[in-house]
Amino acid sequence: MERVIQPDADNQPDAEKSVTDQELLERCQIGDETAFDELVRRHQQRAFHVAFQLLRDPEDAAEVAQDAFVRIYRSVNAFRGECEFTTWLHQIVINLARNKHRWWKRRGRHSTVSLDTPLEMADGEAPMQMAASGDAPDVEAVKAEFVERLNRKIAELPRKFREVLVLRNVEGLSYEQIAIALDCSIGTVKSRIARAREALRESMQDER
Amino acid sequence: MKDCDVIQPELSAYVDGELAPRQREVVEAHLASCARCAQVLAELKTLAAGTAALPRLQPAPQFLAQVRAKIRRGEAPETLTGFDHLFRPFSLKIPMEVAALIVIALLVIHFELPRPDETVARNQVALQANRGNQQLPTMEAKAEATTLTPAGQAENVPAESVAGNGQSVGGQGKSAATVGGHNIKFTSGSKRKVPASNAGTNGPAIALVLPAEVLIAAGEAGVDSSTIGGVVVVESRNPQEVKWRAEELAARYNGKVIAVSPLMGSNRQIIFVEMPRNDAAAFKLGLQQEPGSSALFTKVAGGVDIYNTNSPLLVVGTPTTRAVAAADGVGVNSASMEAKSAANTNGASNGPPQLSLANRPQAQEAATMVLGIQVVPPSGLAPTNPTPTATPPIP
Repeated sequence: MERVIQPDADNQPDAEKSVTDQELLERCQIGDETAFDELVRRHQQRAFHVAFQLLRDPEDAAEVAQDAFVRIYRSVNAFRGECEFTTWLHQIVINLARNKHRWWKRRGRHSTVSLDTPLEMADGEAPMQMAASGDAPDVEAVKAEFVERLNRKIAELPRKFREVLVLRNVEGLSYEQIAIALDCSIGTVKSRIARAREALRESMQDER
Repeated sequence: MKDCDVIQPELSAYVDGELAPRQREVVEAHLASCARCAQVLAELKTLAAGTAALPRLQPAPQFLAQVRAKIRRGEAPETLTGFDHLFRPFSLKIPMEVAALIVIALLVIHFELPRPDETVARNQVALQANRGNQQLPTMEAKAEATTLTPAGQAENVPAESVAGNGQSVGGQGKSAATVGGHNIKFTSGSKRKVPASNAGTNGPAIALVLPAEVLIAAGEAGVDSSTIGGVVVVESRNPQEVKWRAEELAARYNGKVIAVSPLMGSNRQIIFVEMPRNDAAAFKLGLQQEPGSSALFTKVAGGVDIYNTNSPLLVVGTPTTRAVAAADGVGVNSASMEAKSAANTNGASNGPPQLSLANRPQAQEAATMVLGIQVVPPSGLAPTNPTPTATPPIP
């Protein structure tokens, strides 16, 4: 049966996905290359976005996201399904992003890239997509300003806080999934998210 | 207020729907009556919504092709260098750092701690100090300091020990002479235990060291310092004379002069005599009783031998009879040299030892040792003619 592969499939509701991630993984494990390509298409934006939120550099984010899929390709036979594919993917992306972060830190680069400026990538400009909303244009403007300010403040947070906030609010992972992805306890996730939000709240209040 | 401190940390999990039902009920009950916490909750909800609305970037269209290219090229996904790996998670970092510390400590121990040769002088001082404390509790500090002087200043020893120029010697001179007497018992090897056969019966087997000056002289003369069993300090203006007498005496005790160090200034020199170990004590006794010295030495209280500095051949720093016996391992506890000689010779007549291989079969089988005879200028007299022309170096 021929299957139509939808780009950016991770934006689609689960019900519209004709094949589950688990099925694609099983096909990868028996050497189906097209199944791997499908997994990449389905989750490339997720991987890229998480990496970008952590690194704030589109080229580094692309490299980390691609490397994450390379690692999955090479170790797909070792995956036993203890967690969801997306949790595994997030785990790899976060680890590689941490490595990249340390790599740059040792070379003296700590600055982040502002989203105010056009994002030039090696292979073209990356468009910025805002979450769709049905509000009036002036309300949209206020929200956009708030989100932009919030985006800057998140970029200033410690890496550990950014990780949990991105996984929770951007990717919508549960505390349990975050605990698996970060290899820590649920209690740690809970307290870390609370502290991250408190830090963010104070930071936003200071700017008022 | 107290409730707020308990509730507010839970509000974040409440926003995410991660509280247990019972906790959620408690929080909601509090929120119904606390406007402040309700305000915090509203702010947290706004932040959560704002975070979820962060702009999403699309990866480049070539993303999949680039992943495939990396797989084909076999590129490693790791972006860390070897150096970066050193600072990876603590599970790796801490053991590596501990291992590095151990390696550094071992290297420091290996390279920085002084070798035995370098510690000779230091060990000598320490050993002398120990001996001074254990065997000479009444020794005065001045005498001790004199003895502990590095070997290069050994002439200070006779200067103290022969104070009074052969006349009645006070406690100071006695102590110095006694301390000087210990100098002759040094054996090489800073940490080597003295074999039981050498340790004697009067004391524990302690590690002995040679003065650095003797070690240097042995090295220059080509003598293995580990074979040196003792050093006798002889005051004389003429090292050549001492050498002749040593050769003569050594031949009498089954030994021979094997090497002579170069002159070390002011007519200082060391003559190395090899002989059976059991003959060493008798050899020393004979050296004391050589013409020109035996008639002039004076016995003082306590069995310390002091010799007149006017003698052309002057043995100083010679230990008491008991000490000689102990150091040489002959096991003689007699207070007199004659008695010791008699013991060594298995009943031979007293007087200057006339020992021969024939009447001392055990001596033949005994291991040989090297005795250093350190010739120093007479301390009580200024060197009359220290020039090399008057006393040419002994070849």
